[in-house]
Amino acid sequence: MALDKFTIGRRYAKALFELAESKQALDDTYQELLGIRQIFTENEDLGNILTDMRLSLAEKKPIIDSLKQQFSPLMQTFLQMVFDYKRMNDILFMVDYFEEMYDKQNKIIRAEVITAIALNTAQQDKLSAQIAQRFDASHVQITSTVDPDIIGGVIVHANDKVIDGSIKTRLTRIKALLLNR
Amino acid sequence: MSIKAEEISALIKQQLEHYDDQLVVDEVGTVTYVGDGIARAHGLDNVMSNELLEFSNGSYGVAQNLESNDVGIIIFGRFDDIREGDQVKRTGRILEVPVGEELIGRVVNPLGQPIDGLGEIKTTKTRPIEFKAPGVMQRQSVFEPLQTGLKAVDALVPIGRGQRELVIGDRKTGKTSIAIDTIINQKGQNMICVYVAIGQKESTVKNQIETLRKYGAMDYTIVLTAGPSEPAPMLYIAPYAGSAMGEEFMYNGKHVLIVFDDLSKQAAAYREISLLLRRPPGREAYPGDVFYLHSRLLERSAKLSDKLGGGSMTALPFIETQAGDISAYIPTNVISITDGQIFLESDLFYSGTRPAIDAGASVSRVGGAAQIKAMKKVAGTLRVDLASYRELESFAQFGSDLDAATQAKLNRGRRTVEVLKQPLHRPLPVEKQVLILYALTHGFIDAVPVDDIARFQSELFAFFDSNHKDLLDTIHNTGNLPDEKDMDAAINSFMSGFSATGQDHAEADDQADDAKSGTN
Repeated sequence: MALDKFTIGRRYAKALFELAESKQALDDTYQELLGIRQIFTENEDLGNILTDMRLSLAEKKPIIDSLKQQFSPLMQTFLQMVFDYKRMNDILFMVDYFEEMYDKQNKIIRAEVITAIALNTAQQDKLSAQIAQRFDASHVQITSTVDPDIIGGVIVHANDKVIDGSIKTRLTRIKALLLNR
Repeated sequence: MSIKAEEISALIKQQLEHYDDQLVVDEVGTVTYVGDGIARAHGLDNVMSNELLEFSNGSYGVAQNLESNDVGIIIFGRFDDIREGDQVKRTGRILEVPVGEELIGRVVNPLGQPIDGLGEIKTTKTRPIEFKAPGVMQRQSVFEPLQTGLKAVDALVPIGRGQRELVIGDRKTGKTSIAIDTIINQKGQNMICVYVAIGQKESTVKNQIETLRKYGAMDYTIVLTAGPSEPAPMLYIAPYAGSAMGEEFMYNGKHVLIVFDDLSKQAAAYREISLLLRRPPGREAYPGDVFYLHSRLLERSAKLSDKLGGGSMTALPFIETQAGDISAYIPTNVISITDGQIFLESDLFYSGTRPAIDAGASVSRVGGAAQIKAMKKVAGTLRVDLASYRELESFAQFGSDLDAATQAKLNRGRRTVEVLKQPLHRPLPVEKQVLILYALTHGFIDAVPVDDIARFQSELFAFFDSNHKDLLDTIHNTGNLPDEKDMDAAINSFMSGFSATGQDHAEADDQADDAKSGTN
């Protein structure tokens, strides 16, 4: 059975992570991977083009070469290998899993925060301190979105967990309580 | 009556007082695949096997496969509005169904929701659908009879309370009729019946419910149905949900009869789910744990020890065979799990022997202990006699000259088959079964022409009802056979008054019969 994209992402990312760790180039590699993620999200088809069987190697070579040249030697070999094994369309999963491992090592929590009105800096700091305490992290990165639909309060998504303190949810729960459901 | 505004606000105030505002932390995953009643979700790292999950559209599912990257989920309810990328939430609970007295007389789906249009069912209790079967110390052996009201079953393959007796046969051989007649006969027997219809046509189920209602059997029956139009997960959980409903009564010291109609369709539904969940297929494409699927279900039917209230749950699982092939995978599995089987044959059915029970292939491994003494006495050798008659019958087709003993055997056998025939929805109380079998085994019927046996039987019952009620009552109350002299005298006095349509020609009829069977 063909491996699924999550497994592929995990295997490649783990190898890269361990190699970068032994070369003490974790932070640099991570920054470079963020660059790769940006390139691949901006050019959605890039991954598919680089693995497309209908294109000849000669056609793909200039693309991969121009992609490679801006990175460090370690990243260049990584990209070349992923390209040779025709896994370029799964590269974002590798970046994702690398990020996960990197976050785990540095105790970073990525939290998505939804509020009805935009948070000011003081509120954000307070919130990240709270999240850091709750999830036992040393650093919290907040992505803030504003959704007036939730009326008030805050919803935090982090680590596959949802902490829902929005007014909208509370109102639905009161409604259910009053209707005896 | 006008509603006072302040009363409502007072009520709301009171309810709001109990509203404690807790911050809930939910663990969620993301749907990566959905279709055919199953979904896969990424995330949900801490989910447990068989945990109930909630989708963002309000549907519920159960975690089945826990794999390194994703979780395989079977969905109960709508899945057409679940999309890739939707959230699925852990609930920390396992699937439960409502149970209790309130369900009696209702028609529900496998989630315990009413589908008979009679309004909400106000139950107070629930039970998990998967429940560990009682262990060795919690059981006792089967000793009370479960009267099906069918002569052929009660005499040949008796069923005890707490037994699991398989009913197996091709399509259209009267399997469901056995179940319905048995349920009808439980009236006033202190029994609660659960009829679980799995993948049965909605029109058929409707007919069964109407029949049960007509005979007043819905007063003590729960009908649980998962129709063929429901997704496979519903069919898969239906028997477990039915068992949970029955268990509630069993653990409260009551007697329950549960009918699974039929388990082959449940196995097919489980095969569908398993293949979609990418579990490796085995023999006949069933997954590896299809034996456990049925064994853990049927093991829940038991006779509980007196310490636990002595309740019982008797199971009548059904299996539909293809062209009488009982050596297929599912039939052999269930035969080995159950305490015996009632084998129905289409040849017998179409030749007019109804119920079409094959006496040779049908057995009951524990029911004999539960038979009342009187029945044991009159039916003791019936099964063997019938089997030897079937053997002789095919043998006698070749020869024309038969000795008197063989003639007598054939004669008796033909009458035995005739006596064991029984019309639909006409269950007989045990004392009358004993009476007619007594008359048969003591040779009273040997002189009655075969065509007259049905009439002989009904007139005999009427005669005893009006003239010898005491004898019937003795059997009913003590379970013992009355003095043989009294029985013989009573039957003889009836025989003297019985004028068969062809009494004078009995001999001639018999010869005609012999000739017929000889040429057949």
